[in-house]
Amino acid sequence: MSARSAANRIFLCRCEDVTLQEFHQAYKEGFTEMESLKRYTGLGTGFCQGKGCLSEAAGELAELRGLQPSEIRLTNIRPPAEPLTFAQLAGLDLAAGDTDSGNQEDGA
Amino acid sequence: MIPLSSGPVPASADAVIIGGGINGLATAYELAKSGLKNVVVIEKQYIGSGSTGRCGGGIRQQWTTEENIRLAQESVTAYENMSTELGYQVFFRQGGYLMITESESDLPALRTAVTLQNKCNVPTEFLQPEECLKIVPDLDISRLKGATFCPRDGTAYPFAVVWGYARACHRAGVKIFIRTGVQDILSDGGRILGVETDRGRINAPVVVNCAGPWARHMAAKVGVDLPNRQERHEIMVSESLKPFLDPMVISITNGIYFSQSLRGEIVGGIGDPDEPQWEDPADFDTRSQLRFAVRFARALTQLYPRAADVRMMRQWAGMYDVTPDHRPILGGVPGLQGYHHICGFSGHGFMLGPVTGKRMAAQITTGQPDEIITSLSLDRFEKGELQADAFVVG
Repeated sequence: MSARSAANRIFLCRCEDVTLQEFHQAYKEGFTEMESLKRYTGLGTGFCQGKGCLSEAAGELAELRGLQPSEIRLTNIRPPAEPLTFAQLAGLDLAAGDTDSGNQEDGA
Repeated sequence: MIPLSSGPVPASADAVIIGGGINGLATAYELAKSGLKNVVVIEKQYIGSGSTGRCGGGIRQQWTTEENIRLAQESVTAYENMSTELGYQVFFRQGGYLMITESESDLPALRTAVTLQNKCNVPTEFLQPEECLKIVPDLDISRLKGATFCPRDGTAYPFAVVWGYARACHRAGVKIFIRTGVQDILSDGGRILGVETDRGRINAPVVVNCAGPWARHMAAKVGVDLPNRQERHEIMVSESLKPFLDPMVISITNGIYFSQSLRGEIVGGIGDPDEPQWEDPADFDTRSQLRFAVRFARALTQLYPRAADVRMMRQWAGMYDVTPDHRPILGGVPGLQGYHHICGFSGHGFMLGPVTGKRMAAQITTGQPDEIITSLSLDRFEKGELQADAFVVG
């Protein structure tokens, strides 16, 4: 198997089926930041919300850009931490609870 | 599309656009298309990172003032042709807009709006609650009193639109700098001289302020006082579902709106009378609030009970740049040659940007005053010629 076809069988984001090759292609097209790569490829937008792929993808991007992984800005983490149904959300008591969902934002 | 995030900016340009959202990029594209050679776009974060990339992506022609209807109508035509024009798929889909009300007292206004829209050749129709079921079969119509529906309204994917414009800009020779801030707008003796950026100075006779919620702050650098206020609005996206919902559903009663994206997600938000506002951009707080998620979930499950078991994936917030009459501020100001602003869209920049960019570019390059830009200029607030639109929702 050629390296190229192998890259198309490596799934970077397993929730949204984004392959390593697609990630590289997006980078070539000018999407050079995690925020843009996420929105172009769909990476990190599935059920795990990036828990399984964002650090892997950031490492890959660091290599493409010739940077240290620590120099790659990750995407903003959006609430909820786990997907919740609208019924679950509708049943929450706002008066009794904390209204701050505790997310980070927004160095963008 | 190769947005530049490093290296110095050019020493001079024909025009500098502040802001890489829909308005900045559409204007840059149209300026380049009409022959301006050296156009530069300066974006503080990344393409679409401001209000454009946070919006719901709706484009509707259902307004209550003739000017808004005609602008939106032109914009729908622009969106219909956009994928071809830009050579880029922007995922524009005309599933229509269903505007509903739970209040009997709204019905005369809805009927008047339909008459006006029909006069402008917008094919809106008035619907009784039970007729809404033909468009959205599982809608709970028990509290509805009436609705209007226009099948030619629709949605597009905001990021695809700005990426498409950015690529088309690149082909036309526009230079786009991301991760670059504008520190100052330079002027002398009533003329624009250029901008000072993080990466150096650009001399330019034309500066277009398309900074969205930061536009007021930018305008202040050259002594232009905009009446815009900046408000947080929140929005969310669900898991992906098979196609089930054609139109954008929007309630003029409680301000909820939701549609289904081409990825299958429900995308929606709800207005909040208690949305915070901030004077200083440094104070903008776009962290998400649980209050929004709960209010949206309650309104959605009441109107569309089948959504109860659907999971919400993510929520986020963005800023509206709101004017006293909820209509944009376009054009220049007397006594400051070369300065222009395209701002104050009050939550509707994505739906009007392609048209306002085109009209502004034409006015800038030809010097011929545009009728609509003139009527939306900043001096309307001094003259007191305000014409508010009744259908400001979300």
